[in-house]
Amino acid sequence: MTQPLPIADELSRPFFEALCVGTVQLQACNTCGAWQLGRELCWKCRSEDLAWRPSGGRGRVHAFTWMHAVFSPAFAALAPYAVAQVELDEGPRLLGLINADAATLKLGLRVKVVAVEMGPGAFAPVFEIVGETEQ
Amino acid sequence: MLDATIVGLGLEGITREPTASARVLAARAVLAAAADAGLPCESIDGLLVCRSGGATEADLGLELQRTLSLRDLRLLQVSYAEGASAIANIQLAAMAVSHGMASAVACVFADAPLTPGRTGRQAFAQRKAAAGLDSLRYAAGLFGGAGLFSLPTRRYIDRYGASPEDFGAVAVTTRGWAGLNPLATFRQPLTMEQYLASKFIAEPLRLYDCAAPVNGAVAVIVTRSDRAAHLARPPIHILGMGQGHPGELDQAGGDRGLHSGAAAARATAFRMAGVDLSDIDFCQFYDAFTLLTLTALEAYGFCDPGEAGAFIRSGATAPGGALPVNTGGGHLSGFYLQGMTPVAEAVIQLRGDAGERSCPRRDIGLVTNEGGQLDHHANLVLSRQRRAA
Ligand SMILES: [Zn+2]
Repeated sequence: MTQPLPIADELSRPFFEALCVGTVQLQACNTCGAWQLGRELCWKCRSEDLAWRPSGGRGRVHAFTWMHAVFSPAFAALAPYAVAQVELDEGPRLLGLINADAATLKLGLRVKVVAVEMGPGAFAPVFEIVGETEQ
Repeated sequence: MLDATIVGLGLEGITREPTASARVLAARAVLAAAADAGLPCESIDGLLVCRSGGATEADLGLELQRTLSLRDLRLLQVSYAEGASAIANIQLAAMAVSHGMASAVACVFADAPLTPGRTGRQAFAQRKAAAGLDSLRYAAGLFGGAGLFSLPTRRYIDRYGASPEDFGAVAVTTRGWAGLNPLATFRQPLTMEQYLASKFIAEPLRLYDCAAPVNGAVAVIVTRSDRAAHLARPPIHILGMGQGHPGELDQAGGDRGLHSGAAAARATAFRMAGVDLSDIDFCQFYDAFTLLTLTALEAYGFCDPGEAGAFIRSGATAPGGALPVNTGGGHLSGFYLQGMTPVAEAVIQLRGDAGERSCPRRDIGLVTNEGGQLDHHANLVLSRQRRAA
């Protein structure tokens, strides 16, 4: 099994194109202003009038895991590695690898999104810790 | 008015070894369930099929009708509600026989993830053709149900201060039941020390927090109670049933992975059945991961939120305890045939066929299914009597 690469689809293409130039874009609802990612209708008011807008690219760790088992040879050298679900400040949650050590990784840590090229032209978000837990 | 009973049970080829295909296993389970009920195969007029999320229509689907040479069915469909599919099908069968849309409905689940040369982990690592945001999960190396369920397990620990021993108690207790079940896959005793020393799969999930894949099939036959009265085995009555689908979003404020539809499904099913918590003699929960036993006990109200670990450590759910739970060893130690595992064990208990693991009180049992990341919940209240006493 080769390295699983992120693949854009119609709903997510602007997100992945933005990552290629090192930025994060999310959908914002033109009707109510709510933020989201990869949806057809606004989650809050169900409007279809959505636009892609820049995100601050920052958030906090909502959940994380240390993957010890090697399900794919592509990750054999990395294990154990940490995967985080990050809640961006705008609201949507995003999955990605997180650069962290076992002693410090915890829920609530502030992170920023870094775009990393996993394969030719295929960028995925990776999280870097930028600060302590905030309340 | 609901009038539906489970009259036949067929268990087929449950093993950690490669077997026949899922469709052949399903066919054998349907034939076994019909034989168990004392019904000729020709009297089956409804067939409801469900399969694992990783399987396809070619593996197991509508073609099962022709595999079984069943002619002129009045009800046939493949249902999909992730892990809740099996009970969702039995619910549909119950409504169909109650209203005369069909008279004898076979509901079947089969899975054959283990093939020559493919390990259990390879079977679970298999990823669907993921594109878009779904592909980020695999790009980040978050594989298997274990990867997915490790995230809410971490949040549960953070929210309630749960200890490794709380999860270990689920695994150890469930293994204790499996030791009494000849059908269980893992029957050798498991100690807390062994649990704590076991390797992490997706930390905080250890090896014994996760079900292992098996091949096999389970089928049941559903009829009305008047039809059941003339059949071979004592009917098990479906007193109540419900579903709950929270629809939590992966957005701020969402509680996906910890908010189950169980409370909603409980309200529907208990009202229909005319029962409350104190009437439930045993529970058969969907326990592919230890977290699910904890959240089910709490969502149904057997424990306060965050208290299920202490409840299990007290021995309440173990053999000899006040509330037997997953008495066949569940998914964790019994066999992982998704939504049908808890159904099969409930029928075995209520029939009085559970041998040395028989629950002391076994008039009314609660059976649940949980699908996705606690996205889809379905349940049955089953009884030896037509109405709750
Ligand atoms: Zn809106």
